[in-house]
Amino acid sequence: MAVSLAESMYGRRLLLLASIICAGMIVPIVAVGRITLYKGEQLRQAAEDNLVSTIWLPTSRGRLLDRKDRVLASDRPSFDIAVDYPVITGQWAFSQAARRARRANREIWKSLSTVQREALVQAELPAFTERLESGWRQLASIAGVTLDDVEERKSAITADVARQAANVWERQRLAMQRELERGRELLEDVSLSEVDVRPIREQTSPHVILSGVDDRVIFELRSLLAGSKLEGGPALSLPGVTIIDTSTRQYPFDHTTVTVNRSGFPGPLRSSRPIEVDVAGNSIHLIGWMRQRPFREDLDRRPKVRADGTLDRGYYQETDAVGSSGLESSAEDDLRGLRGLQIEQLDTGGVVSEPPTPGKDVKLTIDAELQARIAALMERESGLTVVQAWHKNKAAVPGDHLKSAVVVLSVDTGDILAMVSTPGFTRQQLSDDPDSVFKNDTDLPLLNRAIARPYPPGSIVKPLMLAAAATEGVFDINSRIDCTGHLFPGQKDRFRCWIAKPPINSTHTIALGHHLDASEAIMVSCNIFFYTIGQKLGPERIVRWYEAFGCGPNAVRPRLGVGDQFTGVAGPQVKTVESDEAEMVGTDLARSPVRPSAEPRRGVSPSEAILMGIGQGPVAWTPLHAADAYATLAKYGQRIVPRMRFDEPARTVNLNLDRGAVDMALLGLEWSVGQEMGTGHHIVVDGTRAGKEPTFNVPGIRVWGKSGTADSGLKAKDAEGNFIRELSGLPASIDHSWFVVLAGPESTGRPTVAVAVIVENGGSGGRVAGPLCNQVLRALVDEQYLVPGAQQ
Amino acid sequence: MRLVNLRDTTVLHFGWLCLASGLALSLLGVYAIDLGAHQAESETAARTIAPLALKQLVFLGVGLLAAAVAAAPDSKFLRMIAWPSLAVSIALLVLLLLPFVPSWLVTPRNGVRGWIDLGVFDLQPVELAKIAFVLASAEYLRHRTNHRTLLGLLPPAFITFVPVSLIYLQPDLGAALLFIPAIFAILVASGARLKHMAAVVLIGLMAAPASYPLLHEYQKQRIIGLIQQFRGVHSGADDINYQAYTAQTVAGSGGLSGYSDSKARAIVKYASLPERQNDMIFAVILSRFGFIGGMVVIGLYMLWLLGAMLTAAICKDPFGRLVVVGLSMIMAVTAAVNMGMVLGVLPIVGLALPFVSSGGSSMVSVWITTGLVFGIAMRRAPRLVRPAFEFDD
Repeated sequence: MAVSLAESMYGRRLLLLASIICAGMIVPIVAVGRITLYKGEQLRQAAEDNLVSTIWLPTSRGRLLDRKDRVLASDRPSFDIAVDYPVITGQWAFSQAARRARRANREIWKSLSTVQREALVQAELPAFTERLESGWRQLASIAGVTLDDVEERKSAITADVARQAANVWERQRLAMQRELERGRELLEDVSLSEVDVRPIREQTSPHVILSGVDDRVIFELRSLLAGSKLEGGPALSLPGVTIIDTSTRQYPFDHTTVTVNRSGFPGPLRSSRPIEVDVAGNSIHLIGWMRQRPFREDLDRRPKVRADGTLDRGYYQETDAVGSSGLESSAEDDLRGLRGLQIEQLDTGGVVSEPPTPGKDVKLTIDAELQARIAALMERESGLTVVQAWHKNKAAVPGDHLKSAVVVLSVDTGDILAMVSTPGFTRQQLSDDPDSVFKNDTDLPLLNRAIARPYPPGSIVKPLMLAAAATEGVFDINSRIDCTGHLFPGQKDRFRCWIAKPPINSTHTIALGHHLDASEAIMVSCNIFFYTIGQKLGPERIVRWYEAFGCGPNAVRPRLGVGDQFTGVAGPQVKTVESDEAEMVGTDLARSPVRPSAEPRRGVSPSEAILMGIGQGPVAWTPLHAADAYATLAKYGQRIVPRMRFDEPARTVNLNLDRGAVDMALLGLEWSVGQEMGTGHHIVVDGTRAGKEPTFNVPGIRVWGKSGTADSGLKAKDAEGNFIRELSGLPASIDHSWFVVLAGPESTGRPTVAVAVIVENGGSGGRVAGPLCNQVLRALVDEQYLVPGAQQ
Repeated sequence: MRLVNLRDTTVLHFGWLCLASGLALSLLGVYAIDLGAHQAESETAARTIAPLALKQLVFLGVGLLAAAVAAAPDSKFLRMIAWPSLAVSIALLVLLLLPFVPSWLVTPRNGVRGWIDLGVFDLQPVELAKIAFVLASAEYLRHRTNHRTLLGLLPPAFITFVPVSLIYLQPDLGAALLFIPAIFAILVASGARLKHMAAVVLIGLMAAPASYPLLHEYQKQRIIGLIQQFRGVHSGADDINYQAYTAQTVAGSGGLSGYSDSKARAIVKYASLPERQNDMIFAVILSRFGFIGGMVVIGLYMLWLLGAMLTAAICKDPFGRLVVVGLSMIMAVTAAVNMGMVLGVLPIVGLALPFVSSGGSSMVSVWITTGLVFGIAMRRAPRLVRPAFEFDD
């Protein structure tokens, strides 16, 4: 036939058309093959995914507890109940009635007049109106409110939405009017008079009818909503109900009022009347805070489907709150919990469900009340961290509030009982005025000075150096050293003892009337003695011993999970800032008086080792390092690495310190605060003998302590080479004020707590940090961590 | 002239191929409509046929009746009614667009003024217009020679332009564009010069991009959507490409041989595929019967077209020839475009799948088409026939 067709023109044309049609049909053939065979498996999976309904059930975040199980952070479950706007207005009943009437009269609907249709709708209406009324009654009953309350809320919503709609429509009308006046054709098929036929978004979306509803109500409501999907079960007759989770994180100790007893304060601050001090942002450096949205890295870290294809019920959704800093962040995976999951196979009705797993509670070693008490002592109102006349700090401005940090450590467990850094900030500040926290380069409130800011240790290292030298066998603890005022008498500009000040140029040998033994040297904080110790230890050993006590990048470090921690440095990694620009770059380390050296790495020089003997030179650490090292000394070298979480297993390192040396060191520390000549023994509050009063005055408590007045090293120069006084808001030439104590009940022979206090640029350790340290001990007594006279 | 003239008819003819394939496609359509009605929630429900499928069955009956009526008259009668029927069609198309026509008579659906509410059923004048257009074009060209000149192509162009522009204004671009391949096929079959036709096609292809600004916003969106699909961009999967991606997901899920009845019902139901009983019904068939089902459907269309083209080849009546060629081209293009848009190779233009998609007008229209082809096929050629369309290539 094809041959005969080809003989005529018409036949050929037919063949041409048939060919075109066949060619055209090849396209769907290929496309069917591509979609069903080539992409079939992938599309089948996508189609079958539609058959599965996955409902995620919310979980609750675990609590943060203090060591006495007081709640530091917890979720306050809270929910809003929202209802679709057409249900609120009752329009839903009309729509449903109209739909049912139309369905029931489908065949004749088109032939009916408007009046007839309206009559049919009206006949259907009562059933739906009754359902709505019954639903509202049911909701009010479950929520424990009156129907009048609900009606009032409904009226408020409808009035509000009507007002919004009127505004929107008016704006649209004006806009259309302007377009028409310009002679433009309207893009939308709506006439000027018909603008208000288009509902605004608020007229179709749900609105909150009841807010702050508790979980009991929600549980009941959820059961009823689930029942609405099943036949025969109890159900909610109100349609369009949505439950919105509005749970918030609560911090019960965030704002605390502390009664401060000032009876043991230094004279000028002493009063028989206690004061009430508000502590805002209590422990915020440790607890941290939440942010309301996960970052990209959170979503990537815990995706819904893991690499092995399994489902992570703890995956982040866009609306999840996430721990943003402190323990809220580091303990995120413990606290977070896992959502519940209900998987329903829609075509078969099969349901598989897994209940939510609540987040774990995380117990901290800190004591919330102790934290608050110490923070109150560091507030301006207490006066202990305010520059006072008796501080004799000529470079400081009286009345200035000094920045400070305190760490309290349990000697026996390594538990951090308290860690406070001021100035701090509040969660309110974070949300209302974040710049005052994040961009405050003067106060650096984000900085946890107890662990993140490096300070030169100064004289507080002297007992540690004694124990190190004796243990190394380079110093005989029975030997004595002659304090000559200068280590090298021929070089009066170097390695001077603090006592050798012109014009008298005294020495400790003269003051005591004999050469100093180790305990006396600690008592009077003799530099010559400890220069000698540094000299004997030498560069290599002294660095090793600093690291053994926990200071240095190679030391065994605490893992606290409360933000940036300075590792400590001992050796040539650091140098004193002597920058022409006095630049402040990078993080906490760079903001501090010491920073990584730009110079090539080199060993500690012998003269640097001598300086390190008195805690100066290329060495820096934090109050936590100080408390840790003193606790180690108290336990004769058994170091228990400090911890912040109870569930963290104890880590210990034994330094095997020479027991005789430790005993002499402890004796020196006790004399330092207990003997008239001790550098931490007393303060003189009015410059006369009458104004002399003991630094430590808590009855029944035995104290081993050491002051430290550390050269802050801030010797920044301006472009002309002149020393500048201010460096990032800090006084440039005032020493940091240290005091570290070990304390225990008087009746026992051993310390149970270690307390490290630093007052930044406070000047004399004994005069400034000492009284604060004394009040910390009083707080420990008040919180019963030190029980006077008790056997512990 | 008699209205029904069965004197010179034969029982053995190729029209049966069209009838058989059309019937198979229609029954398959009824099943797919029932499948798309997703009511197999329980055993009892599975046994009752969905109302829409039942309605389609009734339309099939009406369609078969219409086919019989269309097959009965001989070509003289059809020629006689060709121009009047085109005039009536155009009048109805104009009626659709008149602004003062009451809304109970013409109610826009999805923004398209394409239906006249006749109470019992909705008349879609475009379906009538397609057939009338083919009849009128065939009547115009059956013994003409001037269409072999460029100027001679103007009258057929005008005959095409009037209904196309009226339908475009509804707006129903998909249906409007069907007229162009139909007149192209009729002109080719009637001996128009191929170089003229090629030139027209080339000019048309080159001018097509220029018509883009004339498109409605939603039409532009569909073209943009298609381009996104080609480029593998999934950003429109929830809006402009929602229908396309959902259709492809349902279609592709069938794999080689498709799902069982109940599973396919579930897949279609929970995919929430829009227009699953109308324009997107091919996706439902592929989900149920897979690649094999798709090949069967395409095979049935090819069978219909084979029957029609063989009828055209054997037919000696120039009018009959051109009618069959024109109708075949409309059938082929409608089916191919519908399948193409379901499968994501063409933009969504709103064309029903002939015989299969639900809808009375479409069903009656394709069966009238089949009836006309059947009527032409069953008539023996007269002994003396003036040769037609034999020119020098």
